[in-house]
Amino acid sequence: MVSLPEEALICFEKVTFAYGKDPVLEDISFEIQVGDSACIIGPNGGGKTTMIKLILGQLIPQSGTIRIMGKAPKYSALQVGYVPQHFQFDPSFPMTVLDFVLMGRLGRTGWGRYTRLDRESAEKAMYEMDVQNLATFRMSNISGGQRQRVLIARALAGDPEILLMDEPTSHVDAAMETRFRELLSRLHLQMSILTVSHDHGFVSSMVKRVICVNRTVVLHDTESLTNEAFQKLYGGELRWVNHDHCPGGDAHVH
Amino acid sequence: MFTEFFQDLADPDFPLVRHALIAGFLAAVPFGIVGTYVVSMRISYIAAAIAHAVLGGIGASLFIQSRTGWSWLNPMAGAVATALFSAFLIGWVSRHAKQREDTVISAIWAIGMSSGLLFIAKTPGYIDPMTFLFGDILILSPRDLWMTAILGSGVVMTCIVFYKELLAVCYDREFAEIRGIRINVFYYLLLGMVALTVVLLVSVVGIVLAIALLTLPAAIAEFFSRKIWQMMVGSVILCCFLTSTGLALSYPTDLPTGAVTILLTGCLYLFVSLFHAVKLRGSTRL
Repeated sequence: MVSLPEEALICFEKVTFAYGKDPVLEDISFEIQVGDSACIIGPNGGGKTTMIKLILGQLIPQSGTIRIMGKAPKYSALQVGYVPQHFQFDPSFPMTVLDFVLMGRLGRTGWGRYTRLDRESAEKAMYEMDVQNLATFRMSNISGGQRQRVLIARALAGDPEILLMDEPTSHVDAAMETRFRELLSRLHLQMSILTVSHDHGFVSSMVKRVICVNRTVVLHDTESLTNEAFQKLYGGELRWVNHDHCPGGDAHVH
Repeated sequence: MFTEFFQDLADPDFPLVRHALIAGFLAAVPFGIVGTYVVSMRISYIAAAIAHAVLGGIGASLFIQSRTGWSWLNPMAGAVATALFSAFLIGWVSRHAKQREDTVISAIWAIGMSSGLLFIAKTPGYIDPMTFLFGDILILSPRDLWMTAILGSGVVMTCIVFYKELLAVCYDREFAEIRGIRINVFYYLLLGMVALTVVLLVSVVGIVLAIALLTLPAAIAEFFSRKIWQMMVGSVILCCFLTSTGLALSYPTDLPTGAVTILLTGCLYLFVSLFHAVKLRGSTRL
Protein backbone atom coordinates (compact mmCIF):
# COMPACT_ATOMS: atom_id res chain seq x y z
CA MET A 1 0.00 0.00 0.00
CA VAL A 2 1.44 3.37 -1.03
CA SER A 3 1.01 6.14 1.51
CA LEU A 4 0.34 9.60 0.09
CA PRO A 5 2.79 12.32 1.13
CA GLU A 6 1.31 14.53 3.82
CA GLU A 7 0.35 18.02 2.59
CA ALA A 8 2.46 20.86 3.98
CA LEU A 9 0.61 23.38 6.14
CA ILE A 10 1.97 26.30 4.14
CA CYS A 11 4.00 25.97 0.96
CA PHE A 12 5.46 28.94 -0.97
CA GLU A 13 7.19 28.00 -4.21
CA LYS A 14 9.20 30.63 -6.11
CA VAL A 15 6.71 33.34 -5.13
CA THR A 16 7.26 36.91 -6.31
CA PHE A 17 4.97 39.80 -5.50
CA ALA A 18 5.25 43.52 -6.29
CA TYR A 19 2.79 46.39 -5.72
CA GLY A 20 4.49 48.43 -8.44
CA LYS A 21 7.77 47.79 -10.20
CA ASP A 22 9.97 46.81 -7.25
CA PRO A 23 9.16 43.40 -5.78
CA VAL A 24 8.25 43.28 -2.08
CA LEU A 25 8.85 39.54 -2.04
CA GLU A 26 11.19 38.00 -4.58
CA ASP A 27 11.41 34.35 -5.55
CA ILE A 28 10.67 33.03 -2.08
CA SER A 29 10.23 29.35 -1.30
CA PHE A 30 9.61 27.65 2.04
CA GLU A 31 7.43 25.02 3.67
CA ILE A 32 5.89 24.75 7.11
CA GLN A 33 4.66 21.31 8.12
CA VAL A 34 1.31 20.51 9.77
CA GLY A 35 1.52 20.77 13.55
CA ASP A 36 4.45 23.22 13.50
CA SER A 37 4.11 26.67 14.94
CA ALA A 38 6.01 29.29 13.01
CA CYS A 39 6.78 32.96 13.37
CA ILE A 40 7.34 35.49 10.61
CA ILE A 41 9.86 38.15 11.63
CA GLY A 42 11.56 40.93 9.74
CA PRO A 43 12.06 44.69 9.53
CA ASN A 44 9.32 47.18 8.62
CA GLY A 45 8.69 47.13 4.89
CA GLY A 46 10.32 43.71 4.66
CA GLY A 47 7.14 42.06 3.34
CA LYS A 48 5.57 40.52 6.49
CA THR A 49 2.11 42.01 5.91
CA THR A 50 2.28 41.17 2.21
CA MET A 51 3.03 37.57 3.13
CA ILE A 52 -0.04 37.48 5.41
CA LYS A 53 -2.22 38.88 2.63
CA LEU A 54 -0.87 36.25 0.23
CA ILE A 55 -1.63 33.48 2.74
CA LEU A 56 -5.17 34.84 3.20
CA GLY A 57 -5.72 35.07 -0.55
CA GLN A 58 -6.20 38.85 -0.45
CA LEU A 59 -3.29 39.28 -2.86
CA ILE A 60 -2.28 37.10 -5.80
CA PRO A 61 1.43 36.66 -6.58
CA GLN A 62 2.78 37.72 -9.96
CA SER A 63 4.61 34.42 -10.19
CA GLY A 64 5.00 31.21 -8.21
CA THR A 65 2.45 29.13 -6.32
CA ILE A 66 1.13 29.18 -2.79
CA ARG A 67 -0.57 26.18 -1.20
CA ILE A 68 -2.27 26.26 2.19
CA MET A 69 -3.02 22.72 3.33
CA GLY A 70 -2.69 21.64 -0.29
CA LYS A 71 -5.16 24.19 -1.66
CA ALA A 72 -4.91 27.63 -3.23
CA PRO A 73 -5.31 30.39 -0.56
CA LYS A 74 -8.69 31.41 -2.00
CA TYR A 75 -10.09 27.96 -1.21
CA SER A 76 -8.41 27.52 2.16
CA ALA A 77 -9.29 30.91 3.69
CA LEU A 78 -12.05 29.39 5.84
CA GLN A 79 -9.51 27.07 7.46
CA VAL A 80 -7.43 30.05 8.57
CA GLY A 81 -8.45 32.03 11.65
CA TYR A 82 -7.03 35.51 11.20
CA VAL A 83 -6.28 37.94 14.04
CA PRO A 84 -5.27 41.39 12.72
CA GLN A 85 -2.74 43.61 14.49
CA HIS A 86 -4.73 46.81 14.27
CA PHE A 87 -8.47 46.62 14.45
CA GLN A 88 -9.94 49.97 13.56
CA PHE A 89 -13.61 50.25 14.33
CA ASP A 90 -16.28 52.86 14.71
CA PRO A 91 -16.91 53.18 18.49
CA SER A 92 -20.46 54.42 17.95
CA PHE A 93 -21.41 51.37 15.85
CA PRO A 94 -23.86 49.21 17.84
CA MET A 95 -22.01 45.91 18.00
CA THR A 96 -21.90 43.54 20.97
CA VAL A 97 -18.97 41.25 21.70
CA LEU A 98 -21.14 38.15 21.00
CA ASP A 99 -22.22 39.48 17.59
CA PHE A 100 -18.61 40.31 16.81
CA VAL A 101 -17.41 36.79 17.68
CA LEU A 102 -20.28 35.32 15.64
CA MET A 103 -18.79 37.03 12.58
CA GLY A 104 -16.12 34.32 12.75
CA ARG A 105 -18.82 31.86 11.61
CA LEU A 106 -19.27 33.62 8.26
CA GLY A 107 -18.53 31.22 5.45
CA ARG A 108 -19.32 28.26 7.74
CA THR A 109 -23.06 28.96 7.90
CA GLY A 110 -25.92 29.50 5.42
CA TRP A 111 -28.16 32.47 4.64
CA GLY A 112 -30.40 34.04 7.25
CA ARG A 113 -29.83 33.94 10.98
CA TYR A 114 -26.96 32.28 12.77
CA THR A 115 -27.79 28.71 13.74
CA ARG A 116 -27.60 27.09 17.17
CA LEU A 117 -24.31 25.46 16.09
CA ASP A 118 -22.90 28.90 15.23
CA ARG A 119 -23.87 30.22 18.64
CA GLU A 120 -22.38 27.21 20.39
CA SER A 121 -19.09 27.61 18.49
CA ALA A 122 -18.96 31.33 19.32
CA GLU A 123 -19.73 30.71 23.01
CA LYS A 124 -17.10 27.96 23.18
CA ALA A 125 -14.49 30.29 21.63
CA MET A 126 -15.43 33.05 24.08
CA TYR A 127 -15.17 30.63 26.99
CA GLU A 128 -11.76 29.49 25.75
CA MET A 129 -10.56 33.10 25.65
CA ASP A 130 -12.22 33.90 28.99
CA VAL A 131 -14.41 36.65 27.53
CA GLN A 132 -17.80 34.95 27.97
CA ASN A 133 -18.78 37.51 30.61
CA LEU A 134 -18.34 40.30 28.02
CA ALA A 135 -20.93 38.85 25.59
CA THR A 136 -23.44 41.69 25.96
CA PHE A 137 -20.87 44.49 26.18
CA ARG A 138 -20.47 46.88 23.27
CA MET A 139 -17.14 46.55 21.46
CA SER A 140 -16.38 50.17 22.36
CA ASN A 141 -16.76 49.43 26.10
CA ILE A 142 -13.99 46.86 26.48
CA SER A 143 -10.25 47.41 27.04
CA GLY A 144 -7.47 46.90 24.48
CA GLY A 145 -6.37 43.61 26.10
CA GLN A 146 -9.96 42.31 26.19
CA ARG A 147 -10.38 43.33 22.55
CA GLN A 148 -7.30 41.31 21.64
CA ARG A 149 -8.83 38.22 23.26
CA VAL A 150 -12.17 38.90 21.58
CA LEU A 151 -10.39 39.09 18.21
CA ILE A 152 -8.81 35.69 18.85
CA ALA A 153 -12.21 34.32 19.95
CA ARG A 154 -13.68 35.49 16.63
CA ALA A 155 -10.89 33.67 14.78
CA LEU A 156 -11.47 30.51 16.85
CA ALA A 157 -15.26 30.60 16.32
CA GLY A 158 -14.71 29.57 12.70
CA ASP A 159 -13.07 26.27 13.83
CA PRO A 160 -9.80 27.04 12.03
CA GLU A 161 -6.95 24.63 11.42
CA ILE A 162 -4.40 27.44 11.31
CA LEU A 163 -4.42 30.45 13.62
CA LEU A 164 -2.72 33.39 11.89
CA MET A 165 -1.91 36.28 14.22
CA ASP A 166 -0.34 39.61 13.33
CA GLU A 167 1.70 40.98 16.27
CA PRO A 168 -0.41 39.21 18.90
CA THR A 169 1.36 40.78 21.89
CA SER A 170 1.22 44.37 20.65
CA HIS A 171 -1.74 45.31 22.90
CA VAL A 172 -0.87 43.01 25.78
CA ASP A 173 0.91 44.32 28.87
CA ALA A 174 3.72 42.49 30.68
CA ALA A 175 1.41 40.93 33.28
CA MET A 176 -0.97 39.67 30.63
CA GLU A 177 1.80 38.43 28.36
CA THR A 178 2.57 35.37 30.50
CA ARG A 179 -1.09 34.33 30.50
CA PHE A 180 -1.20 34.98 26.79
CA ARG A 181 1.73 32.65 26.13
CA GLU A 182 0.08 29.92 28.22
CA LEU A 183 -3.06 30.38 26.22
CA LEU A 184 -1.23 30.07 22.91
CA SER A 185 0.56 26.94 24.15
CA ARG A 186 -2.86 25.47 24.94
CA LEU A 187 -4.23 26.44 21.52
CA HIS A 188 -1.18 24.94 19.85
CA LEU A 189 -2.37 21.52 21.02
CA GLN A 190 -5.48 21.98 18.85
CA MET A 191 -4.12 23.78 15.77
CA SER A 192 -1.06 25.16 14.01
CA ILE A 193 -0.18 28.73 14.93
CA LEU A 194 1.48 31.22 12.61
CA THR A 195 2.43 34.57 14.08
CA VAL A 196 4.01 37.75 12.86
CA SER A 197 6.12 39.33 15.55
CA HIS A 198 9.01 41.67 16.13
CA ASP A 199 9.36 40.16 19.61
CA HIS A 200 12.36 37.85 19.81
CA GLY A 201 11.30 36.57 23.24
CA PHE A 202 7.98 35.55 21.74
CA VAL A 203 9.83 33.73 18.96
CA SER A 204 12.07 31.67 21.20
CA SER A 205 9.41 30.56 23.65
CA MET A 206 6.52 29.80 21.35
CA VAL A 207 7.60 28.55 17.98
CA LYS A 208 9.60 25.84 16.27
CA ARG A 209 10.27 27.52 12.93
CA VAL A 210 11.15 31.13 12.17
CA ILE A 211 10.55 32.71 8.77
CA CYS A 212 12.90 35.69 8.42
CA VAL A 213 11.47 38.01 5.76
CA ASN A 214 13.22 40.92 4.14
CA ARG A 215 12.22 40.74 0.47
CA THR A 216 13.66 37.24 0.46
CA VAL A 217 13.07 34.52 3.03
CA VAL A 218 15.38 32.48 5.23
CA LEU A 219 13.81 29.67 7.24
CA HIS A 220 15.39 28.84 10.61
CA ASP A 221 14.79 26.38 13.39
CA THR A 222 14.34 28.36 16.59
CA GLU A 223 17.50 26.90 18.10
CA SER A 224 19.63 28.06 15.16
CA LEU A 225 18.67 31.74 15.49
CA THR A 226 21.77 33.73 16.37
CA ASN A 227 22.62 37.37 16.87
CA GLU A 228 24.36 37.32 13.47
CA ALA A 229 21.22 35.99 11.79
CA PHE A 230 19.19 38.89 13.22
CA GLN A 231 21.82 41.46 12.26
CA LYS A 232 21.80 40.13 8.72
CA LEU A 233 18.00 40.26 8.59
CA TYR A 234 17.62 43.77 9.99
CA GLY A 235 20.70 45.06 8.12
CA GLY A 236 22.55 46.73 11.00
CA GLU A 237 23.75 46.60 14.55
CA LEU A 238 21.05 45.43 16.96
CA ARG A 239 20.77 45.95 20.68
CA TRP A 240 19.21 43.31 22.90
CA VAL A 241 17.03 44.48 25.74
CA ASN A 242 16.43 42.04 28.55
CA HIS A 243 12.95 42.34 29.97
CA ASP A 244 13.35 41.30 33.58
CA HIS A 245 9.61 41.41 34.21
CA CYS A 246 9.08 38.54 31.80
CA PRO A 247 9.67 35.08 33.19
CA GLY A 248 12.76 33.59 31.69
CA GLY A 249 14.35 36.97 30.98
CA ASP A 250 13.03 37.23 27.43
CA ALA A 251 14.80 39.56 25.07
CA HIS A 252 13.49 41.88 22.37
CA VAL A 253 15.22 43.18 19.31
CA HIS A 254 15.46 46.96 19.24
CA MET B 1 -56.00 72.57 16.97
CA PHE B 2 -55.89 68.95 15.84
CA THR B 3 -59.66 68.48 15.62
CA GLU B 4 -59.72 69.29 11.90
CA PHE B 5 -56.85 66.85 11.28
CA PHE B 6 -58.57 63.96 13.07
CA GLN B 7 -61.95 64.77 11.47
CA ASP B 8 -60.42 64.67 7.97
CA LEU B 9 -58.51 61.53 8.87
CA ALA B 10 -61.76 59.78 9.79
CA ASP B 11 -63.72 61.18 6.81
CA PRO B 12 -64.22 58.32 4.28
CA ASP B 13 -64.73 60.81 1.44
CA PHE B 14 -61.44 62.60 2.10
CA PRO B 15 -58.60 60.11 1.53
CA LEU B 16 -55.68 62.58 1.22
CA VAL B 17 -54.79 62.77 4.91
CA ARG B 18 -55.32 59.04 5.38
CA HIS B 19 -53.08 58.27 2.40
CA ALA B 20 -50.42 60.64 3.71
CA LEU B 21 -50.47 59.01 7.14
CA ILE B 22 -50.31 55.49 5.67
CA ALA B 23 -47.51 56.59 3.32
CA GLY B 24 -45.54 57.92 6.30
CA PHE B 25 -45.93 54.63 8.17
CA LEU B 26 -45.10 52.49 5.13
CA ALA B 27 -42.11 54.61 4.16
CA ALA B 28 -40.82 54.54 7.75
CA VAL B 29 -39.78 50.89 7.25
CA PRO B 30 -37.26 51.44 4.41
CA PHE B 31 -36.24 54.83 5.86
CA GLY B 32 -35.41 53.29 9.23
CA ILE B 33 -33.63 50.20 7.91
CA VAL B 34 -31.67 51.78 5.07
CA GLY B 35 -30.98 54.88 7.19
CA THR B 36 -29.35 52.61 9.78
CA TYR B 37 -26.93 51.28 7.17
CA VAL B 38 -26.24 54.78 5.82
CA VAL B 39 -25.43 56.10 9.32
CA SER B 40 -23.40 53.04 10.35
CA MET B 41 -21.31 53.09 7.17
CA ARG B 42 -20.92 56.89 7.28
CA ILE B 43 -22.17 57.24 3.69
CA SER B 44 -24.66 60.11 4.22
CA TYR B 45 -22.78 62.14 1.63
CA ILE B 46 -23.34 59.41 -0.98
CA ALA B 47 -27.06 59.24 -0.12
CA ALA B 48 -27.34 63.04 -0.38
CA ALA B 49 -25.63 62.99 -3.80
CA ILE B 50 -28.05 60.31 -5.07
CA ALA B 51 -31.02 62.33 -3.76
CA HIS B 52 -29.90 65.46 -5.60
CA ALA B 53 -28.97 63.60 -8.80
CA VAL B 54 -32.56 62.30 -8.92
CA LEU B 55 -33.72 65.75 -10.11
CA GLY B 56 -31.85 65.10 -13.38
CA GLY B 57 -33.94 61.96 -13.98
CA ILE B 58 -37.18 63.68 -13.02
CA GLY B 59 -36.46 66.62 -15.34
CA ALA B 60 -35.34 64.37 -18.23
CA SER B 61 -38.43 62.16 -17.97
CA LEU B 62 -40.78 65.20 -17.95
CA PHE B 63 -38.98 66.68 -20.95
CA ILE B 64 -38.95 63.44 -22.98
CA GLN B 65 -42.58 62.73 -22.02
CA SER B 66 -43.62 66.17 -23.31
CA ARG B 67 -41.80 65.60 -26.61
CA THR B 68 -42.71 61.97 -27.28
CA GLY B 69 -45.95 61.49 -25.39
CA TRP B 70 -44.66 58.32 -23.71
CA SER B 71 -46.98 58.11 -20.73
CA TRP B 72 -44.96 55.33 -19.06
CA LEU B 73 -41.97 57.63 -18.71
CA ASN B 74 -43.27 59.38 -15.59
CA PRO B 75 -41.10 61.34 -13.12
CA MET B 76 -40.99 58.32 -10.75
CA ALA B 77 -39.51 56.08 -13.48
CA GLY B 78 -36.92 58.75 -14.31
CA ALA B 79 -36.06 59.17 -10.64
CA VAL B 80 -35.61 55.40 -10.09
CA ALA B 81 -33.38 55.04 -13.19
CA THR B 82 -31.20 58.04 -12.25
CA ALA B 83 -30.94 56.99 -8.60
CA LEU B 84 -29.80 53.48 -9.52
CA PHE B 85 -27.36 54.75 -12.15
CA SER B 86 -25.82 57.34 -9.77
CA ALA B 87 -25.57 54.72 -7.00
CA PHE B 88 -23.75 52.34 -9.34
CA LEU B 89 -21.43 55.11 -10.57
CA ILE B 90 -20.63 56.31 -7.04
CA GLY B 91 -20.09 52.72 -5.90
CA TRP B 92 -17.70 52.08 -8.77
CA VAL B 93 -15.77 55.28 -8.09
CA SER B 94 -15.54 54.61 -4.36
CA ARG B 95 -14.14 51.13 -5.05
CA HIS B 96 -11.70 52.09 -7.78
CA ALA B 97 -10.70 55.74 -7.29
CA LYS B 98 -10.78 56.25 -3.52
CA GLN B 99 -8.72 59.45 -3.59
CA ARG B 100 -11.19 61.19 -5.94
CA GLU B 101 -14.36 59.83 -4.35
CA ASP B 102 -15.64 63.07 -2.79
CA THR B 103 -14.91 65.10 -5.94
CA VAL B 104 -16.75 62.66 -8.20
CA ILE B 105 -19.69 62.48 -5.76
CA SER B 106 -19.90 66.31 -5.77
CA ALA B 107 -19.83 66.31 -9.57
CA ILE B 108 -22.71 63.78 -9.78
CA TRP B 109 -24.65 65.85 -7.21
CA ALA B 110 -24.18 69.10 -9.19
CA ILE B 111 -24.74 67.62 -12.68
CA GLY B 112 -27.97 65.95 -11.51
CA MET B 113 -29.38 69.14 -10.01
CA SER B 114 -28.42 71.46 -12.87
CA SER B 115 -29.48 69.15 -15.69
CA GLY B 116 -32.80 68.57 -13.91
CA LEU B 117 -33.46 72.31 -13.67
CA LEU B 118 -32.49 72.80 -17.35
CA PHE B 119 -34.80 69.99 -18.52
CA ILE B 120 -37.68 71.41 -16.42
CA ALA B 121 -37.02 74.91 -17.85
CA LYS B 122 -37.26 73.57 -21.41
CA THR B 123 -40.36 71.42 -20.77
CA PRO B 124 -43.54 73.08 -22.15
CA GLY B 125 -46.07 74.19 -19.54
CA TYR B 126 -45.47 75.29 -15.98
CA ILE B 127 -43.76 72.80 -13.66
CA ASP B 128 -42.83 73.99 -10.19
CA PRO B 129 -39.43 72.52 -9.22
CA MET B 130 -40.35 73.22 -5.56
CA THR B 131 -42.66 70.17 -5.66
CA PHE B 132 -39.64 67.95 -6.20
CA LEU B 133 -37.21 69.92 -4.06
CA PHE B 134 -39.43 69.91 -0.97
CA GLY B 135 -41.96 67.12 -1.74
CA ASP B 136 -45.59 66.87 -0.67
CA ILE B 137 -46.84 63.84 1.19
CA LEU B 138 -50.45 65.04 0.73
CA ILE B 139 -50.42 64.44 -3.04
CA LEU B 140 -49.44 60.76 -2.90
CA SER B 141 -51.78 58.45 -4.84
CA PRO B 142 -52.84 54.88 -3.94
CA ARG B 143 -50.34 53.73 -6.60
CA ASP B 144 -47.56 55.52 -4.69
CA LEU B 145 -48.69 53.73 -1.51
CA TRP B 146 -48.43 50.36 -3.22
CA MET B 147 -44.97 51.18 -4.53
CA THR B 148 -43.89 52.22 -1.01
CA ALA B 149 -45.28 48.99 0.45
CA ILE B 150 -43.52 46.86 -2.19
CA LEU B 151 -40.21 48.66 -1.66
CA GLY B 152 -40.54 48.37 2.11
CA SER B 153 -41.18 44.62 1.84
CA GLY B 154 -38.19 44.21 -0.49
CA VAL B 155 -35.90 46.07 1.92
CA VAL B 156 -37.12 44.03 4.92
CA MET B 157 -36.67 40.72 3.07
CA THR B 158 -33.18 41.67 1.87
CA CYS B 159 -32.16 42.68 5.38
CA ILE B 160 -33.47 39.46 6.94
CA VAL B 161 -31.82 37.18 4.37
CA PHE B 162 -28.46 39.02 4.25
CA TYR B 163 -28.42 40.41 7.81
CA LYS B 164 -25.10 38.77 8.79
CA GLU B 165 -23.36 39.59 5.55
CA LEU B 166 -24.49 43.24 5.47
CA LEU B 167 -23.49 43.67 9.11
CA ALA B 168 -20.02 42.26 8.41
CA VAL B 169 -19.57 44.46 5.32
CA CYS B 170 -20.59 47.54 7.34
CA TYR B 171 -18.42 46.79 10.37
CA ASP B 172 -15.30 44.97 9.17
CA ARG B 173 -15.01 44.82 5.40
CA GLU B 174 -11.55 43.22 5.41
CA PHE B 175 -12.63 40.34 7.64
CA ALA B 176 -15.83 39.83 5.63
CA GLU B 177 -13.75 39.52 2.46
CA ILE B 178 -11.40 36.99 4.10
CA ARG B 179 -14.44 34.91 5.13
CA GLY B 180 -15.50 34.69 1.49
CA ILE B 181 -18.22 37.37 1.51
CA ARG B 182 -18.43 39.10 -1.88
CA ILE B 183 -18.13 42.57 -0.44
CA ASN B 184 -18.53 44.37 -3.77
CA VAL B 185 -21.85 42.62 -4.44
CA PHE B 186 -23.17 43.57 -0.99
CA TYR B 187 -21.85 47.13 -1.27
CA TYR B 188 -23.71 47.61 -4.56
CA LEU B 189 -26.81 45.94 -3.07
CA LEU B 190 -26.72 48.43 -0.21
CA LEU B 191 -26.26 51.37 -2.56
CA GLY B 192 -29.15 50.07 -4.67
CA MET B 193 -31.38 49.98 -1.59
CA VAL B 194 -30.23 53.50 -0.69
CA ALA B 195 -31.10 54.68 -4.22
CA LEU B 196 -34.63 53.25 -4.17
CA THR B 197 -35.28 54.54 -0.64
CA VAL B 198 -34.08 57.98 -1.65
CA VAL B 199 -36.67 58.05 -4.47
CA LEU B 200 -39.37 57.35 -1.88
CA LEU B 201 -37.96 60.04 0.40
CA VAL B 202 -38.11 62.53 -2.45
CA SER B 203 -41.88 61.98 -2.76
CA VAL B 204 -42.39 62.33 0.99
CA VAL B 205 -40.10 65.22 1.99
CA GLY B 206 -38.41 66.25 -1.27
CA ILE B 207 -34.84 66.21 -2.57
CA VAL B 208 -33.38 68.86 -0.25
CA LEU B 209 -34.72 67.37 2.98
CA ALA B 210 -34.44 63.67 2.09
CA ILE B 211 -31.07 63.12 3.71
CA ALA B 212 -32.28 64.43 7.09
CA LEU B 213 -35.15 61.92 7.35
CA LEU B 214 -32.85 59.13 6.19
CA THR B 215 -30.07 59.74 8.69
CA LEU B 216 -31.30 61.63 11.76
CA PRO B 217 -33.80 59.05 13.12
CA ALA B 218 -31.12 56.34 12.74
CA ALA B 219 -28.55 58.59 14.42
CA ILE B 220 -30.97 59.13 17.34
CA ALA B 221 -31.65 55.39 17.62
CA GLU B 222 -27.88 54.71 17.60
CA PHE B 223 -27.58 56.38 21.02
CA PHE B 224 -29.87 53.76 22.59
CA SER B 225 -28.90 50.59 20.72
CA ARG B 226 -26.48 47.74 21.47
CA LYS B 227 -27.22 45.86 18.26
CA ILE B 228 -27.83 47.03 14.73
CA TRP B 229 -31.33 45.46 14.54
CA GLN B 230 -32.30 47.44 17.65
CA MET B 231 -31.11 50.58 15.85
CA MET B 232 -33.26 49.63 12.83
CA VAL B 233 -36.38 49.04 14.93
CA GLY B 234 -35.81 52.26 16.90
CA SER B 235 -35.29 54.18 13.70
CA VAL B 236 -38.49 52.80 12.09
CA ILE B 237 -40.52 53.73 15.20
CA LEU B 238 -39.01 57.23 15.21
CA CYS B 239 -39.75 57.68 11.48
CA CYS B 240 -43.40 56.67 12.10
CA PHE B 241 -43.62 59.15 14.95
CA LEU B 242 -41.91 61.98 13.04
CA THR B 243 -43.85 61.65 9.77
CA SER B 244 -47.23 61.40 11.57
CA THR B 245 -46.46 64.22 14.00
CA GLY B 246 -45.12 66.37 11.16
CA LEU B 247 -48.36 65.77 9.26
CA ALA B 248 -50.54 66.44 12.31
CA LEU B 249 -48.71 69.70 13.09
CA SER B 250 -48.58 71.03 9.53
CA TYR B 251 -52.10 70.14 8.39
CA PRO B 252 -54.18 72.48 10.60
CA THR B 253 -51.64 75.31 10.28
CA ASP B 254 -51.35 74.92 6.48
CA LEU B 255 -47.55 74.67 6.60
CA PRO B 256 -45.41 72.54 4.25
CA THR B 257 -45.44 69.03 5.80
CA GLY B 258 -41.92 68.11 4.66
CA ALA B 259 -40.38 71.20 6.25
CA VAL B 260 -42.28 70.71 9.53
CA THR B 261 -41.29 67.02 9.67
CA ILE B 262 -37.61 67.78 9.11
CA LEU B 263 -37.57 70.68 11.57
CA LEU B 264 -39.07 68.36 14.17
CA THR B 265 -36.50 65.65 13.30
CA GLY B 266 -33.57 68.05 13.48
CA CYS B 267 -34.69 69.51 16.84
CA LEU B 268 -35.20 66.03 18.30
CA TYR B 269 -31.73 64.97 17.13
CA LEU B 270 -30.08 68.05 18.64
CA PHE B 271 -31.97 67.57 21.92
CA VAL B 272 -31.03 63.87 22.19
CA SER B 273 -27.38 64.58 21.24
CA LEU B 274 -27.18 67.27 23.90
CA PHE B 275 -28.82 65.01 26.49
CA HIS B 276 -26.43 62.20 25.60
CA ALA B 277 -23.36 64.48 25.78
CA VAL B 278 -24.42 65.83 29.21
CA LYS B 279 -25.09 62.29 30.45
CA LEU B 280 -21.71 61.11 29.15
CA ARG B 281 -19.90 64.02 30.80
CA GLY B 282 -21.70 63.26 34.08
CA SER B 283 -20.72 59.59 34.01
CA THR B 284 -17.07 60.48 33.13
CA ARG B 285 -16.86 62.79 36.15
CA LEU B 286 -18.24 60.07 38.43
